[in-house]
Amino acid sequence: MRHILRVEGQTHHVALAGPASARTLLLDESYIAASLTQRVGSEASLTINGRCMVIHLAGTDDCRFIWLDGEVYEVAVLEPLTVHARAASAAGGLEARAPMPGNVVALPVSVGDTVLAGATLVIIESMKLEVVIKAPQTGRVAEIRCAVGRSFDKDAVLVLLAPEMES
Amino acid sequence: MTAIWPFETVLVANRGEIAARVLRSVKALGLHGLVLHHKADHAAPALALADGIIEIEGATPVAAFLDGTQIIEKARTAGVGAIHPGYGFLSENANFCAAVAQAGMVFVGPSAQAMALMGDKVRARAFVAARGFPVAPSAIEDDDPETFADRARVLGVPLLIKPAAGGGGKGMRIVRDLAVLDAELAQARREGLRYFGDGRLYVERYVERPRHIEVQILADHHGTTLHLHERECSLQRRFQKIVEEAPATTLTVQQRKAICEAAVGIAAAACYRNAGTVEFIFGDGVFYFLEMNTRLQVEHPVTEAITGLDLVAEQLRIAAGEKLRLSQADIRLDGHAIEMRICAEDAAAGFAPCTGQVLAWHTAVGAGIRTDAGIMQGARITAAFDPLLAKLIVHAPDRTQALALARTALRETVLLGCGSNIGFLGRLLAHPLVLAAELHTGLVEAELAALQRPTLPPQTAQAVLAAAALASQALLQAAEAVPPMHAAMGAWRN
Repeated sequence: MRHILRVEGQTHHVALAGPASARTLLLDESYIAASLTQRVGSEASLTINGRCMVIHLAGTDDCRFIWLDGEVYEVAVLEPLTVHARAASAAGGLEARAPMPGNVVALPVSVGDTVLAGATLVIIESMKLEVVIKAPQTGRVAEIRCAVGRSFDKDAVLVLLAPEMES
Repeated sequence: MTAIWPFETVLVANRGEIAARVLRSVKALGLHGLVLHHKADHAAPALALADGIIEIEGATPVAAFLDGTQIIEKARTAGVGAIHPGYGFLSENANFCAAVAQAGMVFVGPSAQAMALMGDKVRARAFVAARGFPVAPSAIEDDDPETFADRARVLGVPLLIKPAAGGGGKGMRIVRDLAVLDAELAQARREGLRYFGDGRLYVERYVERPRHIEVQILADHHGTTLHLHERECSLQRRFQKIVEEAPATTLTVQQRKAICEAAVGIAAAACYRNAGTVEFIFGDGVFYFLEMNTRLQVEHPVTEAITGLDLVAEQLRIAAGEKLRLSQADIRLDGHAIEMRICAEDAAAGFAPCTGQVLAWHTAVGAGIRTDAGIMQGARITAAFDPLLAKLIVHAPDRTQALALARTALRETVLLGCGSNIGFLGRLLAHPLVLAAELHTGLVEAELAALQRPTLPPQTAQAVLAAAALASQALLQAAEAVPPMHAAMGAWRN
């Protein structure tokens, strides 16, 4: 089965086969001989088609941090079914999600309000920085899942918008 | 040498990297070191270094660290003799400074009077100007609110609007067209009211492409005021410093002498005691007084590197009433030092704060490399505090070698589990304008596009994806499942 790996906003189809001693990786359309050997702590050595490099990695399939050549990349492993289900649910309504964890400073909208694309839905504060969460497109406020003074995690749905009714 | 200290127990009223930094000197001097702790912090280096911990509470974690009454009360109960405030939080709060003394403890810093004078930016400016030191041409609203806008217009563009009660760059606005002056004044007033509860403003002539140069001061209670040379802190974003260095290599010998002597003169005139920093704006060969910070600065380690002094130890000795054991001629200037602020910020997302848990943290080790860290493995990085995680400081014989060492040390610094600006700092220190020392406070903003991480090159993407696939439980299970006879083989575990 092919899994979907997401890095830097791009998705890739990946499958792994073969015994631990000689793994073959199908990455998008190319086959790669690759091996990974854990060294100390987060350090590991990665060999790709005979080329060896030192990397660091930690985390889980949901979010794995990989250090390579002075930069850190976040990779998520997604089940193809999950990706499909998310795409289907997003089509039904619009969510305003938190781009970062923080607290709600102001909430100028109420359930039932019609908001134009770009209108302020929520003002949040995170590490002394104020950020305005704007309506991704015109719609009606269907549900508010946050409150002034309350905290939330990254990616939490703060406001749900329903598509605007055609009159 | 103090045979007997007037205090034995020092409370560090702070957290993060600076709490650990101060505790190291406290303990090296043979004193007993305590530190504050709020339950929002886990696995912090300062907690392991401290001889004891004072738990504090508050409506928010920051509120707990700002609750001077609670801190003084608990410090007194714990038998604390002196309080070191670090930077931020209560470090520049003159009321706290006075209250510590009233409670019979020593505040490691200046007097409440000197702090109050320098804390009021408009008063400090007037004080400095009245004593003949250079300040930028300006118009101060309080002098005559009716004519304020007209007086600002007379200065000509470019102008910089500043809140009278300001700090940290909040509410500051640059005006290049007098037609928008009134609108910008109104906006600055709203921001001043919102951030500081005070809408009063002043306007200064703005220096284009300015450099930020500051001078480290040490002054004892016996009439000696010394400077420990200058630092250049021109690499900033939104008035927040990112990289600092010492000395400022582009100053001429005469300019360096003039700016350092002005700083000593200003500190002496204000009867300043302990460690402090006089900040200047430098451009077109002239410098203007900006403000004085009445505390230990974040960037003090670059001064420690070039002078070989321990600034916190000096602060504690001064607070104990000792005479400075040095004269101006004894202050060394050895090589070049650079500090990089490692912050939980995502440069690709407009420097939005990042949160997470530290899964791996490796620091660079070697001659001339120092890391002052507020994090360790397992620490949770939350939105509750400011995003400074650690500082990397390098010291080399000259600026070129220091820059090379800085890039090497950054590359060896690995943080997994929370986004950071480490990669951004590496690109900044390789930028041609930084290499050429052609710095100004707008450089980072102007070069932001060139400083972004390039789109993932195919070879890098391949390596990163291969590593993720080979570490993935889901993919390994799938691989093992295909030929069942391989199912018993070991899988990568992290």
